[in-house]
Amino acid sequence: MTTAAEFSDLMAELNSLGESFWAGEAEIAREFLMAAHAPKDHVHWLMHQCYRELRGPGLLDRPSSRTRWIVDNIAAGLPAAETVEGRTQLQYQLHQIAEEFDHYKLYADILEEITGKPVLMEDVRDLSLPSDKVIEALRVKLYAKDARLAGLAYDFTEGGGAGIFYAQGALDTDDPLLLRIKKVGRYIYDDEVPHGQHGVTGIELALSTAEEFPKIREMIVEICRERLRMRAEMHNTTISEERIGEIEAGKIEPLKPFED
Amino acid sequence: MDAHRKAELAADLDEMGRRFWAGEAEICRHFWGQPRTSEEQAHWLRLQVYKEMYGSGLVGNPGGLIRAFLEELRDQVGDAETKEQRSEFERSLRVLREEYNHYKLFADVLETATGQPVSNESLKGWQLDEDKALQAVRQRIREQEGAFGELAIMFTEGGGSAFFLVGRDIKGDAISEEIARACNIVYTDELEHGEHGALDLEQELDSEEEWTKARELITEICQQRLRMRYGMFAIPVDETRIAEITAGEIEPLPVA
Repeated sequence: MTTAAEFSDLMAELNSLGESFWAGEAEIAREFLMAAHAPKDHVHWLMHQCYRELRGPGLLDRPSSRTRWIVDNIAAGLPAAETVEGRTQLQYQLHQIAEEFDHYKLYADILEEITGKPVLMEDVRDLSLPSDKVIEALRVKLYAKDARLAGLAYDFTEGGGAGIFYAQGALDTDDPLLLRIKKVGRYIYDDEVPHGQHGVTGIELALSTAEEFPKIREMIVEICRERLRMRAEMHNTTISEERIGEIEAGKIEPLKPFED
Repeated sequence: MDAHRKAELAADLDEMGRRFWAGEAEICRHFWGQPRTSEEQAHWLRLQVYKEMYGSGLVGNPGGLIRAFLEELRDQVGDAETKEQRSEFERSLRVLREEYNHYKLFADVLETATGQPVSNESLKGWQLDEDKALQAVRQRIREQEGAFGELAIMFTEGGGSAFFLVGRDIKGDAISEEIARACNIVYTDELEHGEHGALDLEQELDSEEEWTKARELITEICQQRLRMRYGMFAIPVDETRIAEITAGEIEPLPVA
């Protein structure tokens, strides 16, 4: 039987692990943003972030998404509207979709200003990176292994602790484009951080034995490592396996909370 | 038509509207002015939940207001490609969330009052005769007057939030407190809709005839709104009082 103190230590370890990976995602974004770039160099990552903001909630069709859940619910005669729990769930899903679209809009508006062209859905729809495909395959594998633990692990890692938004929001710059990115990043970071906390709480509530801890830790590490590769690819760079190992080992400063 | 005359007519119509909203508030105060049983509260809550789900004919979708919004959004997202289209989609999402939230607030109170889930099947039968008549008035105006009629309908939408204005102050038991909380949220949201209606009229109407016609249409809708409020609270319709309110024998609801 795991004592409360032991359990608390395990959670602290998991939190610390997460914080290292979130800082890793921020490091990748910060290195890109701090290097000299022409506005058009930002198009690649902005397009991919637009893709992610739309695909996440299922506004670009994907199975098991929030949007799919609502569409299926409508087709079934809106049974969610009949109970207190269902109504709350529907309200939550609508809130999340609206928030993700808001984030998409913020980036798409910057993109449109850079390119002078509309952000066409046909250009965004099929943007998945090779690393996205790896992440998708990993999701299938982990859910097949243990759907409950995988669900908790994905809740925990969702958004990567908002690391890239943190990096944007923390930019020290007077460049007009970067100032816009900074403003958007900070806005989204403030939206996203409670999601991460939701994931931590989910694990705290759902894990009852210490035996499950190494399994979920392993899943989280696998997901986060792939997320680092994806963030690097998104920013037109690569990350070495050595640096990934260092990040996992905590050889990185955790993100400091914004002071304002 | 010069701007001065337009402003004069707009102010006149605004005051007329506020007299009707005061009439709605009067009916609400009459009902809530004494302690009510859960079943008495459930009577009006059923219609309110129906109205939040089906919009009382504000949209043509037989599946209701919320479903119409959801389906519209599903179709709209593929076109959100320019800054304007993205803003439009964002606005639609905001309206949907607001409308759904209103439904949820009252459905939750109804469930507290009755102890029963709000079944979609039952909900379809909760529209009262007076509300059906209001729906028919709107539909006829929409068909006969087109966009002009739509302006009149929009002006009257929500009845100046008088119902929620009164409801947010009720107290005395747990259900009343829950109703007050719900009304307070909806009151804030709905006020904005009313302001849009008045602004739209001022922008669109250009002749004395149009203002007179708008006044007639709005009067007809508002009178039926009063009958709907009586029916909602299971109070016999008082045509004498409706005539008095139409004649201006009531203080206008103060501007919020």
